[in-house]
Amino acid sequence: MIESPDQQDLDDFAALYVGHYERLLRLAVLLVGDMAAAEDVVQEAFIRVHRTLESRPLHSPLAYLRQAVVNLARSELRRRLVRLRHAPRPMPDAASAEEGACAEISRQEVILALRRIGARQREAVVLRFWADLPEAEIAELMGVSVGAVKGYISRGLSRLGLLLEAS
Amino acid sequence: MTTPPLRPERLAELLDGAVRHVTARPDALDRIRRGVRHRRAVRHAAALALTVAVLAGGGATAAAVAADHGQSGLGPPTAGAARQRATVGPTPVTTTAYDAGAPALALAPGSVAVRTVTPAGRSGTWDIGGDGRQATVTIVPVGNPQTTFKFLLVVYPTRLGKQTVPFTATSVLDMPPDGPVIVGVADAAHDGGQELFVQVDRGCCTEFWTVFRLVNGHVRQMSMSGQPVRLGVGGSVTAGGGFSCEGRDLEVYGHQPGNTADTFLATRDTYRWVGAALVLASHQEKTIRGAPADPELANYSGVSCAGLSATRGEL
Repeated sequence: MIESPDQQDLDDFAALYVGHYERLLRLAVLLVGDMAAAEDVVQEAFIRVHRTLESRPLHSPLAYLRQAVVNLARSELRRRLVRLRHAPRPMPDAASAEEGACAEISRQEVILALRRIGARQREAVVLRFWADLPEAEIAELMGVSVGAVKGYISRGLSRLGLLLEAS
Repeated sequence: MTTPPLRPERLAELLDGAVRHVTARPDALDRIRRGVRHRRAVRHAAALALTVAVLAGGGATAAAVAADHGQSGLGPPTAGAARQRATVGPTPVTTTAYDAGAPALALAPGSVAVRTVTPAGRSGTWDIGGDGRQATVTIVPVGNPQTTFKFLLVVYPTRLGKQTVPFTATSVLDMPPDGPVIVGVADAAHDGGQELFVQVDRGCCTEFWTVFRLVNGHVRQMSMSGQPVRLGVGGSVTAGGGFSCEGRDLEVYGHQPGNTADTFLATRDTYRWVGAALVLASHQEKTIRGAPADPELANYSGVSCAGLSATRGEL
């Protein structure tokens, strides 16, 4: 058997995974509020990056991954809303070792508070104060102006302050 | 009374604290790779179907085929990662050759094109779980096999399928000719399972080993004080170390020159096996007066753990 022609791509891809997967998973947890959905989001983002790398080189795979995570998190939240409105609740899966961690995340006050603010405010606040990205980069990621980002952050911060104070 | 505003630094702390314990599943990389291959297979099948449909002259049929397979331009693929988890079984993962000159291995039917080498020390088969199931353990470099310090420990099969654990080690370039080496396995925790010992660094006289263990079915790299385990084995004329797993706990030894010319400071740390962590239970120090070859000092060096021994065989 001969070596696969895209072997080197896969090795670079593994390096990308080792370097960034966990941090992007944490970002996704903050954006979507639960572990299983966050894993799906990040897994899908990595698959998309790999698919893109097959056809063209990426100048900054990390920026691409981050963008994909933010976009997919939005899609996940939209799908979740639709499911809540129109579908009966599915039977829960059997508990696994990760379920404990998942439940632990869901119980975190700050995660609960994040769920109760607007999606744009949540994205802006998490990207600014957890991912430590500059406002200009957040604006590019979110597809809005820097002024809008400042507004989201300001309102998000004060709303989170109220929610955490109340809890 | 107004509520004091939430300080950004405080929020950053809260956010960090909320997700600090979030870690990747051991098999996350495998799942992504399976997803990649699944998509590729779907695209190829769709392209073939599309070609057949066009050749047959059915434009509408071709469009329908493309839409069914989620071709770009006609909508993204819709198979979510969760569904793939449910439907895709464990599949051999493509691995990289350590040494291009080494012989290729035969592959099982249906596996992906692979060239792996399994020189002694980089791959082996053991009953890791202690349940009679033999698992093949392989070390795979990430990136350039000669210069990388990132490696994957691939274990297959386990109760949960194939598992991949990233770990760091000194590069092959700095640890010639082997790079990280699987030293062997031992039931060091005395729980019926087998802990896996891997040499991750080697100098003239000292080796450093890390330990992997099955925890709730997941292969995990053991940690000590929050860092991956590095057990020093062997040493020079005046300083050295080792460990013993003969008792219930892991005892880690070390000795080094003391405050005066004719003394040595010997230490014995006792660690408990708690999940994926080795937790310090006690620390003892003793000053030994004598020559480097003092028999008492010999108690503070070397490995005493089932059949494990230093890979150089001279320590």
